[in-house]
Amino acid sequence: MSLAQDDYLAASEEALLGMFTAGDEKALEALLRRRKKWLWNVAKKTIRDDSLAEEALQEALVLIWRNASSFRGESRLTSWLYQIVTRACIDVLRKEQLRSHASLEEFDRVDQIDSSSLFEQAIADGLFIHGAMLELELEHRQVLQAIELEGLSVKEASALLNIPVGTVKSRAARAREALKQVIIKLVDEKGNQENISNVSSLEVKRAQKK
Amino acid sequence: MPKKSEADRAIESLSKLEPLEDVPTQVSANFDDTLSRLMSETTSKKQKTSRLSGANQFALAASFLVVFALGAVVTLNTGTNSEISLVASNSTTENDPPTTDDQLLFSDGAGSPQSSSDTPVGIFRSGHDYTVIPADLYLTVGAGATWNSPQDLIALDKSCLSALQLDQITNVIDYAKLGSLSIRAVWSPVTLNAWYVYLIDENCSAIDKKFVEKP
Repeated sequence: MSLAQDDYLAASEEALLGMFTAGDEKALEALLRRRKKWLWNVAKKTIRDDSLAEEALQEALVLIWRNASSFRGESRLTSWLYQIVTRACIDVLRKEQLRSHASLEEFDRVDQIDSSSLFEQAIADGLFIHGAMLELELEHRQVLQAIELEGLSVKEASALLNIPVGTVKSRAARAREALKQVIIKLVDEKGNQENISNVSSLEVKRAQKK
Repeated sequence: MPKKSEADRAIESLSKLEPLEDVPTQVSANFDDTLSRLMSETTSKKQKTSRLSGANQFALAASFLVVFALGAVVTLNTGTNSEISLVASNSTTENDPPTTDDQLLFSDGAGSPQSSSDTPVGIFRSGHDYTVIPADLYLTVGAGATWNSPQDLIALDKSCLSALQLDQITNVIDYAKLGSLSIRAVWSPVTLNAWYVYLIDENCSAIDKKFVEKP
């Protein structure tokens, strides 16, 4: 017995993960479809090259699917997904260098990519704000999307969302506060980012020796 | 408060936020294909688990029959027939509804953020029509975030929840309506802020499964 499609669309990401843990894989599918654009942008901004970014996205997708049930919410979902995608990007870059017989300097360049610089770049690119917005409830996302990203007036947002002007204002205020709380946690997690370059530096060193 | 000011700056810059780049059509299609493949892999694994569980149920039923037959022989020999009918009436294997895949996985609660509690499963009689579930109904029925103990439930509720494999994951039962039908709405937490609501008719058949999240 599964839920109606609208239930998945309206559910928060936290609830979707809870449903997945409870055995409903459609919930994770809904979450990943919602995150598709964001995941692509993380991969694309990390690698730049379209085909390599896609390879990394595919690898990340499989990793997310296989590990989602072990996600316990110790970090924000945005941080967790971000780490998986960037690690997949670095792995893909290394594989590409092996394929193309890259010079030792080029290996070093990938080896020196560290999570904190990627993290800073992600903040500069607005990826974390977009990611944080996706963690919000549907009604908060909708109102911020309309007012902040699409630049609609409160009155226009009221007409678009079919809710009273007063509700738009109060909902927007609550949405900004909720977003701020998510961002504060994300910034806090920045300090806990491990150095991604250490993850498989041994592999690279072995490759360099060859 | 550097963290706060960083967050404040982010909020202030929302209107200047660059939109995300669209996913190229082919990348998007490949993403969807991979997702479908992962879905079907998971589904087929679940079906295997379900078949195994079905086999276990069959083995259990078979061993029950052997024990029952032996018991019957012994009882016939001693001439106390009343005990046979008592054992037979306790058998529920034939009347159990088919178990769905998600209930099988759901019942073990593996990896769930929820926890079991010794608090008895709550009983509420809202009489509410669950055709539509208002966002604040969880407050009315007093739905919480733990899987409560079914020990104190009346036998009818206990056996029904057990048959549907909901006995270990129920927080509260609400006696209610679905249109003109009398139903029991079983609230089962999936996170601290969200529930599945199983709608069960008087014959202990699950009619529908809904989802409720705190607004």
